[in-house]
Amino acid sequence: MSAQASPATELQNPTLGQVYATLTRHSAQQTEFIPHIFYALHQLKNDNGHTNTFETATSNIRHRLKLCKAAIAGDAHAVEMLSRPCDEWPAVVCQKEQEIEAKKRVHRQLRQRVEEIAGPLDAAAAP
Amino acid sequence: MSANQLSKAATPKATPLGAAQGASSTSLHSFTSFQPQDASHVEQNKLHSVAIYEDLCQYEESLQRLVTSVDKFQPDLEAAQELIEIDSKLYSNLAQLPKYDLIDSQLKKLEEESKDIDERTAKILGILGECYNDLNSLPMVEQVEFEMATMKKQKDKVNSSVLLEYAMKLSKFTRVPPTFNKDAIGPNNFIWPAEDAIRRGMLAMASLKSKELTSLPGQSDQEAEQASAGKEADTAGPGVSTLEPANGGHNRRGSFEFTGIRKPPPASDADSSVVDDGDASMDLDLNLFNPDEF
Repeated sequence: MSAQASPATELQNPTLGQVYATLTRHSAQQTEFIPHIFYALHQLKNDNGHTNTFETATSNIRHRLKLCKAAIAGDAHAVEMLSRPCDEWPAVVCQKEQEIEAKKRVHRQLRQRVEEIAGPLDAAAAP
Repeated sequence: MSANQLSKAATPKATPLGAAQGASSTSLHSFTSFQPQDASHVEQNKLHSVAIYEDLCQYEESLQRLVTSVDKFQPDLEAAQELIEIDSKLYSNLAQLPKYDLIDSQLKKLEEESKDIDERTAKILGILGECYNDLNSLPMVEQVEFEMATMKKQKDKVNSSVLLEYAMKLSKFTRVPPTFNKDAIGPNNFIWPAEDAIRRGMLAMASLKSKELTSLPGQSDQEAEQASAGKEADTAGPGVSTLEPANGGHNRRGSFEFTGIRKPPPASDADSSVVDDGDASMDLDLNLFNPDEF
């Protein structure tokens, strides 16, 4: 397992942050997956009394995987976002920006129109 | 190996094939009706289209296969190799989460901006609606002009009561025009008849024969005799006039003429004379002008 992303990275989205922290933030209790599996295999190999099982040793990994799955499945917005490839999102963002710009343009036109109508009235009302 | 293959086949695996099957089923049902079951199918398909979620599922399955094989003292090396590959794939997808987070913050910002603009639009539309209603409640220009013209026309006309009141005020301080002839007999566009018409009227003629008209039947004979005797006396000589003239025309009362001077009261009634004197003095002080009488 290679932690490619830096563990110190804080994500704003809570779901993404939880998944990212669960999978990348490592400590003594929360180790990396592959080294943990190798260590469990090593312990199992050296365990002569057969007191530990491999399933018990890897339960922590399965628990973390389930936590991540539950976090993703519980957030519809995150699912919507993650279901689309990362490369497609800039186009979507650009489209939304254009929509907002169109709305702003309508507001500007309305303001200009109101000023055209209200200008002579204000001039007439002024002493 | 065969057992592994069996377990692979038996394990319900969330694969793109499964997702495709779900998609085909939803597309078939979408033509008939949209039910909660279809919604859950859509959500499942969407969930399985998430790469990280799919990696997590595969990770779980591969790990489970490895655990099962190890606990049976038959380690599955292929499962171990697959686990390493999936781990690599999972973390490569995980590296994209900061990008997704950045996109998410951008989307949230745009969404807030869009929401703000929508609220402003709704507010503007509300104000425009109020302005429209206010303008509709105002009268039209043509109507205002018509009303102003009507009021102007009404102002040009002078009301008769106002004119009469003004004339009464003026009459207190004015006199008869010099060209007006008081003695002229004839209609001067008055509402009452002229003096000559009154003199020719039945009342005037009746006043000339008041004695005849008011005399009793018994008295009429005596008067007739007296009249005949008077005639005889007249025929006897014009210089002798012992009898009073029997003609009732001499008893005719003169017409009333207002001169501003009251006649002296009869001396018989002293008390009433005192009162009448007081009334006379009061009458002299009376203000003759009373607009309410007109």
